[in-house]
Amino acid sequence: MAELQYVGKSIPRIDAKEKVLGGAMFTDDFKVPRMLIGKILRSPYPHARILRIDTSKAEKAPGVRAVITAGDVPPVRWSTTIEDQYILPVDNIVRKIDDPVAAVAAETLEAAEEALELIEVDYESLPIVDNIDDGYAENPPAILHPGKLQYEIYPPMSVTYRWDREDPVIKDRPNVLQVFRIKRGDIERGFQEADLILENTFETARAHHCQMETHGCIAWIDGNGIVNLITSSQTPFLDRIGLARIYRCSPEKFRIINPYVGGGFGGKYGVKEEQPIAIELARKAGRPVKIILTRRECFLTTECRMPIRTRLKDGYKKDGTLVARDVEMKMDIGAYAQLGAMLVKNACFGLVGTYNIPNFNLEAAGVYTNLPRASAYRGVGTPEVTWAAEQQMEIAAERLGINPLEIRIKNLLQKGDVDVTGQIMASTAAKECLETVAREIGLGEKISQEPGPWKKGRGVALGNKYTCAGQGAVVTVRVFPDGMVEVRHNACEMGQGTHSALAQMAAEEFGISMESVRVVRGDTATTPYDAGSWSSRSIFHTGNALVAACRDAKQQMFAIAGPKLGVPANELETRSGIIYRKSLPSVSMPAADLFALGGLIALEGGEIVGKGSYISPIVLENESGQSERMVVYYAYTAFGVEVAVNEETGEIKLLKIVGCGDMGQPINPKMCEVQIEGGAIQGVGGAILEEMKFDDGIPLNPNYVDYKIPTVMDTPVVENMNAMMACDPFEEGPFGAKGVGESTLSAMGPAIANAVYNAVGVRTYGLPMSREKLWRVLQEKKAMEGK
Amino acid sequence: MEKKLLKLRVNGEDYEFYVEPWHTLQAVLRNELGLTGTKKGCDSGYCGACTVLVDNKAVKSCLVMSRQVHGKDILTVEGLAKGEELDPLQQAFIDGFAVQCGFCTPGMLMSAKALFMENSSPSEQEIREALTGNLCRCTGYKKIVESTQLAISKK
Repeated sequence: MAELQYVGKSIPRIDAKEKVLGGAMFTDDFKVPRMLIGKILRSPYPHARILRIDTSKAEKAPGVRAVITAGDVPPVRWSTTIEDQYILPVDNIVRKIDDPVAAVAAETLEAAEEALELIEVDYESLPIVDNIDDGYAENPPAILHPGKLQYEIYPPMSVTYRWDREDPVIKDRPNVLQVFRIKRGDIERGFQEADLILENTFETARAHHCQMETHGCIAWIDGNGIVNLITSSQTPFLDRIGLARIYRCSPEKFRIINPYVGGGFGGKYGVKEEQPIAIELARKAGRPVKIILTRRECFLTTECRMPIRTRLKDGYKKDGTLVARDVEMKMDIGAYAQLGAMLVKNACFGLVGTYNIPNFNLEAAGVYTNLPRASAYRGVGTPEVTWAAEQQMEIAAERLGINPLEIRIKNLLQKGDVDVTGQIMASTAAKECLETVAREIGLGEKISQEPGPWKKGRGVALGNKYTCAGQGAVVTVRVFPDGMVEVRHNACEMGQGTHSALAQMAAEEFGISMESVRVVRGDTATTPYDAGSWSSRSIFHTGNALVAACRDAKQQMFAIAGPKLGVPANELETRSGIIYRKSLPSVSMPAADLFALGGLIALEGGEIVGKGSYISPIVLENESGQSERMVVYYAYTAFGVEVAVNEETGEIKLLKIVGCGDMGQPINPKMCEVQIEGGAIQGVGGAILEEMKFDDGIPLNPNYVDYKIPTVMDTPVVENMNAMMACDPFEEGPFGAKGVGESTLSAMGPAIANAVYNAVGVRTYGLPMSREKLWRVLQEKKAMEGK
Repeated sequence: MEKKLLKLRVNGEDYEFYVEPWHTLQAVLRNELGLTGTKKGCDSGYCGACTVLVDNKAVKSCLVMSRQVHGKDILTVEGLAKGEELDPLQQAFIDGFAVQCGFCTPGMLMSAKALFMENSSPSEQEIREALTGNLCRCTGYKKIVESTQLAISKK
């Protein structure tokens, strides 16, 4: 096979220049003529009944052009899973701080803010549920959704999404929304075979993506009655379908423009609260309305990372073989389901996608609480459960006297193995990733400690992330007389780089320079369907569709060129805008000769536009919840870290980070590196800094002063931060590629925890490993040793 | 309150218009002048996405009342390139893969630019300190620091 010229090369991103010039447009950069600014009035209570709303003063305020309340919106519950949320409180109940209550559109931001203050609302405060135990209780202090059993499943989900309203846990426990169970083998016998049984409970925190760009949209209804939206979203087409469901109309009534997105990380999936609110304000005002969320609104009203409590009971043989695993998970979904109801199941994939476990039992329950909705954030439950599993295995290794690398490798799933859910392992270089980081970080080697309170330690962990199967992407490729091609697609571009990687693949397919490829995206009116960028799916799905589109375009080119050259079409190839006979390249013609009228029209078909589509095959689960293909593949990233821990203060410093990822064939190695580096640091935040805090449902830190995310000072120096790759090309992927966006985070928490343990001999079991938490655990250890 | 006259030189061009006293420099740049390269990430002085230069010093424009900089010289990301010629920092950020979603990029470039105006050959530690006030959620910072180092040699 000829050596690849563009794929597999670190070619600078095609959108980098625009971005460094400051010209790349994000949602808030757009202005539309006669645009108004919208602001949402939000509940000051975590749980309350609305007794009265009076908007009359606001309606008369200067500059105000529309005020809406629940009576102005479609009176339907909506969601991406179980439909449980109103656009504005049709049922007069608010269930979380900052729940939308009413909204205003005015000429200026100040006029809108002042109008909000003129809206009078009387609330009756209700008792709250603000923790997992109250959420799970049979007799909780409050019931958030008394009508839960009458809720409907969002129709596009209803084929794959199972919800058993008769399940006793769901029926008897008023705030439990969803349960998920797995049973494989014989758990009791498994524990009998075990030489070591470990049981520990791990907890993770509510945390936020903190995308640099907050959520927002501009909405207007044009003269044809079409709702137009410019929106910061990972899923323009899914938003469209979701809005069509809310409005009970056809998706074609919505046209969604999706510019560059300033970070998504899963938090911009699906219809967002402010979209239908902006639409209704625009409808009432008869003018476009822009709503951009503040940082506080982003923290509290967009979906965040889900707190998960995992009680993990493992049985190991003395040689380290994991023979039994019993899991009980409780998850805090927040006030409304959204993707959280899906996560109750999908979080479990993190526990089953790496290791072989012959006897496995799991029950997971997702509960409602009067807290921000928690669901998809980079990993979607996988980092949360990996936090538990990758520490437990280390604890086992220590107890059994086995090397922590060896115990993992011993239990790894090999290609072709069947995992706990019946999934056949499609592609893995997990072993190489682990070995690489262990070697590079010097795992097990003696560390020279300095005098004083700082103690150094090293640790590793392995993380995975699946990509959901059963979703589609469509790409078109137009060929021009000068040999240029124009790709049209709708993967999101939120930094992950799919947009640029597609250009590399198109350049490769046509044998043309990167400068000859134009890539266009982001308008449902003119660019083709794509389910969007989530579940680390875009390079794989959109990439496969691109390759198919390129081949379709080339077939059209060769169908015209063949007769002209007197050569069968299947003996032709193209490169640099020339079509030539493979066996005799001097028999050739330029692409321009495929066209007539000076290049206006192709000789056949009028234009040369290739279309390609790709839907990843899926096998739906059988009655026992088993399926050989619910996910397309797992991607893996292992991390090795060296930390320094201050025994007197609980502070953790990251001295060295090594990440090694398996993302199949990297289309652009440097772009994959930066995904590993970025995932590592986002993981550092989740591991030691980030926790959304509440007191009786009142948020304590919805801002960057009190919720700290990593700055450059929280990272190792550049020579001590290394991203590497060990790849198992996946034959179903474009040029062998898998996904990379999420696996690059999953293992950071436990890698740091394992390093901390290596340094100071304690684990916090809860995330984040804040200074206070670690300090307390260190004090307890000191007290115990004193005895 | 009545609007006040504001005179600014932005990216070498003089502007004059009337603003509300409470309008920040960030709001004026984005809304009055349409210079949307300067971003709004937190509107509270923490994330650094709004960083611009005022008289060659990096400031968070969301914390500066526009009238505070009346008559001063402002440089935004749009003023870095000279016609078709990119600033060495801009070229380095492209070549060094320092750009992912691009939202922090203008602020990072401006903070780095301010550093270079005081110190044409900063150490890695000095670069890190200069960029402390600029958050990035995508890249993990390594390639941003490396690209800034790369720009030193390109000058």
